[in-house]
Amino acid sequence: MINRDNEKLDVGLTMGRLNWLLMALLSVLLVGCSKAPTEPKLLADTANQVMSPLYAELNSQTQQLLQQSQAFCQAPSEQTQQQLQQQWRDTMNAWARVQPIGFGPVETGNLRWKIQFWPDRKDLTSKKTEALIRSDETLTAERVAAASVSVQGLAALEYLLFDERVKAVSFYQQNSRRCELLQAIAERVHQVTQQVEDEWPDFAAKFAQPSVDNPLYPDNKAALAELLNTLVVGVEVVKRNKLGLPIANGANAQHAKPYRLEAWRSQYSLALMRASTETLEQLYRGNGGFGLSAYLQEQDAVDDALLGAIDEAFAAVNTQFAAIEAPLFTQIKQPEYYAQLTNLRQRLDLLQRQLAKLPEKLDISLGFNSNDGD
Amino acid sequence: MQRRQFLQLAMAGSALALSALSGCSSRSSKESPLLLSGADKGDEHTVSGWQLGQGERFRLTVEQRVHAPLMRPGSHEAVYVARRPGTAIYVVDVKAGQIKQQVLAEKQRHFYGHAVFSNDGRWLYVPENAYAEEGRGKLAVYDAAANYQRVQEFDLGGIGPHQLALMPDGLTLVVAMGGIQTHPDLDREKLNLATMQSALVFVDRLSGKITQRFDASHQHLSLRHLDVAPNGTVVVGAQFQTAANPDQLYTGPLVFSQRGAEPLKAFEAQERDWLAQHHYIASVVINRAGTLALTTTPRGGRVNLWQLEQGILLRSFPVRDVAGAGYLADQNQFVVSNGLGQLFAVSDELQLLAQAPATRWDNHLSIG
Repeated sequence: MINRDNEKLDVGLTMGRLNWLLMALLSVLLVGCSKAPTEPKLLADTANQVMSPLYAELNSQTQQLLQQSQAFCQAPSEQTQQQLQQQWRDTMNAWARVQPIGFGPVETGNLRWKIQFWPDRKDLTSKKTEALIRSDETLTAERVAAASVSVQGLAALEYLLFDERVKAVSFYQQNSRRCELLQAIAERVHQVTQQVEDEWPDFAAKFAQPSVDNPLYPDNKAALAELLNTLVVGVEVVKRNKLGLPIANGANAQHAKPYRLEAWRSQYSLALMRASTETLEQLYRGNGGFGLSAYLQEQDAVDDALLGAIDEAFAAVNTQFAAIEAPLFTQIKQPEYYAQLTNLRQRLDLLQRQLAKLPEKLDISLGFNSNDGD
Repeated sequence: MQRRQFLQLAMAGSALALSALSGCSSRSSKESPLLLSGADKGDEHTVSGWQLGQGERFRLTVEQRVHAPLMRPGSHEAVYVARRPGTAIYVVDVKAGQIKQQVLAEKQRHFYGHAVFSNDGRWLYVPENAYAEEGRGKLAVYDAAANYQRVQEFDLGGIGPHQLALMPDGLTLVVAMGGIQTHPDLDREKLNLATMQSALVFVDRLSGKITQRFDASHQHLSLRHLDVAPNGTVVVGAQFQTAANPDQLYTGPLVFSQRGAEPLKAFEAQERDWLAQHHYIASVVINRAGTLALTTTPRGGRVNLWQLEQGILLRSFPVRDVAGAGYLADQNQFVVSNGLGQLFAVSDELQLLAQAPATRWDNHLSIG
């Protein structure tokens, strides 16, 4: 009995000590966690789990676009054209997901315009594309690369595939130059996205590993600044360029400008807006990795109220996207529909305002010489 | 030839990096180079002197943001010229680390951020905007030996004079005329994109006579920054005005050389390399041998190294927000600075020389 009691007592004491030790150990671990910088994980996960798949998908889509262009041109028919049109939509969607990323190989190479010529207020795309078809020049990817950007990229392909005046399959059957140009442009776009994918690993390594001798990101803050800037500017591009300008910034349905919509010919504008916004949310949440939102939760300088407001703002934007039916192009001037778009713009504006509070909270400033002009 | 040169450069770079890292303890009899630059810290504009291997020598708060500094030959004096549309030149004693004097522009004039001394250090030539006279570009002459008294001015026959340099004859100045009209009341808005014409202009510094003029190869190219090789070859960097025609994407050259009476000759690079410059060259520097030129672009975040004679791109390094550039003659070494406080030696590779804490190096770097 006594022995047993002693045993119990000993065990109790041991358990108590063990608990205390565990508590101490745990607290050390917790303190360790909060002190160890989590930026490297954030940057690596953002590069590998959010950005890498987007570049890979874009390059894969342009490759399929080239193949589908060749398939269509070998046997032009309604069916092969519809397949090619769908492939164009898929490619454009993949591009809209890369488009808002304001840093990385697209930006450093200044390649944006080569992938998509937009906005195009004077409709140079149709004029210059037709001029090139009428010329007697050999139509190759090299010729396209040397031409005006208005005949390069996905916007010129959209013109060839969707414009009511020229898309008829019979046109392709009658004039082989239309198909020559179509394939040449598709090949050139694929070359450009291949360049992006080739240059991405080097860039990603620099982004994910800031250090004092890293010429792109000498410290974590410099890399974080890119991410925050992309979020704020990215929402601005959707709010202002993709939506605000076509709806005359919400002034009046009668002032709406459907031809200002991105991808008005294919009537694919809404999907592209949504795709870009989804990338921005992925960049914020980390796409399953350790993302910015998780990182911000650890920062004392960022209060929970702001994070809650950002969550709500993203949710409000997504809800409104879901409430709007495509296509914008044909419905943009209808008052009820227009009101929904105005509402979406307001929600994007609110999201942008919340995100724009982050740089200051984190004591992060954006560019210096690159914003100069002397 | 090139390879050997690179190896030499690389070795010089290593030596420099080692001496920089070894720091204050091993001070040689000859002082390490002093780098001069404007540098912003928080909301403050400063003029700064940074000694390689030792760190900051001085940092003085100034009212106006400066653009390019330069040493006055044969003195311990540096001048820092205010950035457009600034109106001040700060004269700094780099030994004492003090501002000796502040020279202010004439009424209805402002500076463009650049200046050059005569070889004897007496005369300072400063491009000005005569904005009340439709933006005519003037060259003001200051007498450094008489407390920087303004003694004369020349008309440059164009708009927007920017960087200038003294030719090897010591008498001719070469001026990059940017061609763009601005007015200080309208911030930095470009007023004449439809009619702009940029050129390299050669001026006799004694008479003010324009001896030669070479127009830019494209109407919307604005020539801004330049350097001169010992044999008189000028290398000039341009900025393309995309706003003049946003529907066109210029993918042509942004760096040119000019020799004797020949027109501008474009440097050669692939379209993707030009595009990566983002239509903007910030600094141009030539090595002492006159064999290599280095250019920077902060918008593109790139340092390019060129073989000067043929105008061929040799190497391109990504460096974020990079603008300032200089050449350390004693080390046979280029050096560049950026808005993140970094200083890199550039040769076969990039080597970090220093990082100045909480410092944003401004556009131009000069070696004291």
